[in-house]
Amino acid sequence: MTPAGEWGTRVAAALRVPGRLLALAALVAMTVLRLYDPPPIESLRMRLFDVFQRLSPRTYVDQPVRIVEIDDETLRLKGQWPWPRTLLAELVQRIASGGPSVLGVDILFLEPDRLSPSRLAETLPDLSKDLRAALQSLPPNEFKLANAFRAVPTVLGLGPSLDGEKGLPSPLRLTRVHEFGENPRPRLVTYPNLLRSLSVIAAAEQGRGLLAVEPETDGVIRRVPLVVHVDGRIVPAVTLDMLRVAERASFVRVETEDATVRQIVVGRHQLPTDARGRLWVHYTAPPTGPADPQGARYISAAQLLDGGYDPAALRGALVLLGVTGLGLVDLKATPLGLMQGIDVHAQILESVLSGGFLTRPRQADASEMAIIVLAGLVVVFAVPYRRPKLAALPVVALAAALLIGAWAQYRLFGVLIDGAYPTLSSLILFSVMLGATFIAVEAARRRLAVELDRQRQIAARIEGELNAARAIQMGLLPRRFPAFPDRTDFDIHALIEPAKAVGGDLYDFMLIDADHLFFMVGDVSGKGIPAALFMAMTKELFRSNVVRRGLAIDRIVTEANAQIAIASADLLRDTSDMMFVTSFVGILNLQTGLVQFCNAGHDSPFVLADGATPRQIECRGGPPLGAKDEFLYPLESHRLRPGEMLLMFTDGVSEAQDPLGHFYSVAQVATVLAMTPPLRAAEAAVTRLYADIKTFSRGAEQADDITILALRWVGSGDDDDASRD
Amino acid sequence: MQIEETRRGAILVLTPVGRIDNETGPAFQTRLLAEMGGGGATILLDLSKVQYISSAGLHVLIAATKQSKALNGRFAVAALQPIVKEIFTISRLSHVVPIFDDVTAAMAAWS
Repeated sequence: MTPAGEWGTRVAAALRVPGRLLALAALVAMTVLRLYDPPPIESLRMRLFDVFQRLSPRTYVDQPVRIVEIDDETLRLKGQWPWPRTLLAELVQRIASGGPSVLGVDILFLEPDRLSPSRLAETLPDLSKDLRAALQSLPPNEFKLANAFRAVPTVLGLGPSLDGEKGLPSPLRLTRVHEFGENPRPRLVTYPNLLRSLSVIAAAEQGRGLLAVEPETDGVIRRVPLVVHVDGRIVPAVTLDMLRVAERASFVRVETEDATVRQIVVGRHQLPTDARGRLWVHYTAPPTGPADPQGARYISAAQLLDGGYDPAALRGALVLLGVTGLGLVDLKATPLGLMQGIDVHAQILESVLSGGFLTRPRQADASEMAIIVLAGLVVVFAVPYRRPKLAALPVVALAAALLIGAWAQYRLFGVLIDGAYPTLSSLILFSVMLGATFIAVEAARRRLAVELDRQRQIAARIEGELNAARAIQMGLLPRRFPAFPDRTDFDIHALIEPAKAVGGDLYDFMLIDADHLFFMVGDVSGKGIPAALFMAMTKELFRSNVVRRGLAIDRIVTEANAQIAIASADLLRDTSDMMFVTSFVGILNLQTGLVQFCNAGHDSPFVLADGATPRQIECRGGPPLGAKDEFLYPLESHRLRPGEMLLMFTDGVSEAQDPLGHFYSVAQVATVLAMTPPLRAAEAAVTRLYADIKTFSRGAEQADDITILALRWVGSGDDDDASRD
Repeated sequence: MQIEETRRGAILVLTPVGRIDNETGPAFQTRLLAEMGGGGATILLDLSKVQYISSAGLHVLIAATKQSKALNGRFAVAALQPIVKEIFTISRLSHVVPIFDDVTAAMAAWS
C-alpha cells in the first residue's frame, strides 16, 4: 500500500469513530458562523467582556478630570433649567477663573435665549415704550456667554442630526483631521448631519466635538467613536477635541491600515481604536458612597457659584460641564451599570490620561477562529469518548483554559480576547460527540441484547428439541405396566431414568409367541442425539431380527452385531467417532423357565430366589455389539425355578455417584436385592433398587441413564412340564 | 489428563495417568486418533497408571481399535490394573482389543 493510501485508510478509520463526521461538520458551521458574526454571537463575546470589566474594573486613580454638574441641588438653589444664559455665563466665568486646560460643554445652545433682554421685551407686551427701548438696546445674553467662553479654552458640543437634506450648517468650523493611510470614512460611524450651537456662541469656541455616545445593538455602551463621518467630513468626538485643545495641538490624526482605523493620535496621546475608530471604554466601578475617592470627580455647580468650591482646584484640569439633575438626563447602560453620558466622557478622558486602555488586537477575530478550530479538533479527536466519565475531564479543562486564558489577557494586558464562543463551540462539539457515542453504545447494547435473545431462543429451541427427542426415545420403549395384565405365569417390570443429556440406554420385551418372551437391556456408548438415534436403531434391529429368526437368540444377536458394526463403521468414517452397544438379550421359555441368552459386553443379570443370596449369572459372553465386525456370540442358558427373578441393569446403576464421587457399585446392588422380606414382584424389585440408588446419590447430578429390568417367572405350577423343553 | 509418551523404535508407547472417563475421554480420544494420523502407526497403550476406566473410557479404546484397523495400523493395551481388568472382563473387551500383560510382552509380540 502506498503511504498516501495508508494515510487515507487511517483518516477513514479515524472518521468512523461515532459522531466525528457530524462534529466536524458542526465545527465548520461554528467557524463559519463566527466569520459572519451575527448579533447573538457578538453579544456573547461582549457579555464576556462585560463580565471581565465587572470582575476587574479600572482602578480609579485621581486624574485632572472634573465634571461640573448642574445637579439637583444646583437647580434647587438657582432655579429651573434652562437657565438664563447669563447665569450659565457666570458659572463659566467661575470655572475660567480657576484656569482649567480645557472646558468641554455637554450642552447644546441651539436657540436664542428667551430671557435675553430684547426677547423679553417682545414677550412682555405691557412694557412702557422707554423700558422696551432700553431692553432692546441691551446685548443678547448669548454675548455674555460667548464672552465667558472666550476666557477659557472651550470645546462645544455638536449633536448628531438625522436630517441629511440641509447639508452641514454654514459657516461650520471643524477641527482639522489629518488622515494617515487609506480613506477611513467607509468604516467610520456615519451621521447624516450635525446640530450646532448658535454661531454667536460658537464663535467663542476653540474646539468642538460630537457629544453622542451610541450603544451597541444590545443597548450597552462599550465603545465610543472618537471620530465620525458626516457628509464627507471627519468630525472628532468632544473628548478627542478636548484632548487636542488641552494638548494645544492644531489637529488630530487618524491612522488607517488595511482600510481600517488603527489608532488616533492627538498631541502626545496615541489612542488605539477598533477598525471603525471606536475606543473601548475601560470603566471604573460606580462610586460606592460619599466617601468614595471618585467623589473628587464631581463638583456641584451651586458650590462653584456660591464660593463653596475654590475654582483654583480646577487649574490645568479637563473640565466637563453638563446637566445631571434628575429628569433632565438620560441614563446610559454600561457594562458597570447605568451612567450618565457625561460620566462616559469623563471615563474616556481618565483612561487616556492614565494610559489604561482596553484594546482588541487587529488579528483578534482571526485568532479566535483559529482557537475555535484547534479546540474543536482537540474535542473531536483527542478526547477518549469510549470512557465517557473520563471524557468530560479534558473538555472541562479545555473550557477552563479558554476562559482563564481570555481572563488573563484582559487582566494582565487589557486585551479583549473572546473565550466564550470557543468554549461554547467546544461544548457543543462535545455534546455532539458524547451524544453520538451514547447512541452508538446504546445501539451496540441493543444489538447485543438482540443477539443474546437470539441465542436464548436457539438454546430454548435446542432444549425443546432435546426434550422432544427424549420423549420420542422414551415413547419407543414399552412403558405401560403391568405389560401383560392377563398373564399370571410371569411378571415383568422396567424403569428407565434418563440423565440430563439425551442418553442411549434401552430395554425391550415382547412375546414372540404364547410361550416365549423376548427381553433385552442395552447401553449405547456415548450421549446426545447420535446415541439416541443408535438406541432407536438397535431396538428396531432386534425386533425385526426376532421376527425373522424366531427363537435363535444367538443368531439374532450375531446378526445384530454385524449390522451395528456396519452402522458404526459408517459413523467412524463420517465423524471420526463410532458407537457400540453393550447388551444382555434373552428369551424366556414361559413353560419351562429356561432362559437362553447372549451377553454382549454387559453386566450379567442377578438371579433372585427366595432364601438365597442374589448372584450374577456366570457366562462367557462376547464383546459389545458393533465393537467387532464379526463375532459369533455363544448361546448360553440358565434355568429359572418357579418364583425366581432375573434382574438386569445398566452401568448407570453401578456407576451412580454420591456427591463425593463414590460409586454405587454392583456389590451394593447385590446387598439391596438380598434384603428381607424377599422381593416377590418385579415392580417391587425395580422400585426398591431405584429408591436405594436415589438415597445413595443424595441429589448428586445423575451422569448416566439408569435402566432396571426385572423379570420373574412364576411358572404354571406344574413341575412336570419343566422337562418338556 | 497427563499422558506420558515414549517411542521404542516404530512403536509409540502412550501412558495415560489417572482415570479415563466422561471428563478425560473425549480429549484422550482426539489425541489417540491424531497419533494414528495417516495410518500404519503402531501404538501401545500402557494402562499401568490408569486406576479406572468408565464406559466412556471403553468407548475410547474401541474407537481407537476400529480406527487403527481402518488405517492398517496396530493398537494394543498392556499392564491392566485389577479394577480395569475386571471392567475389561465384564465388557469382554479381550475379543476386541489385544491385551498384553506388560509393555515388554507387547514389544516381544510385535518385534
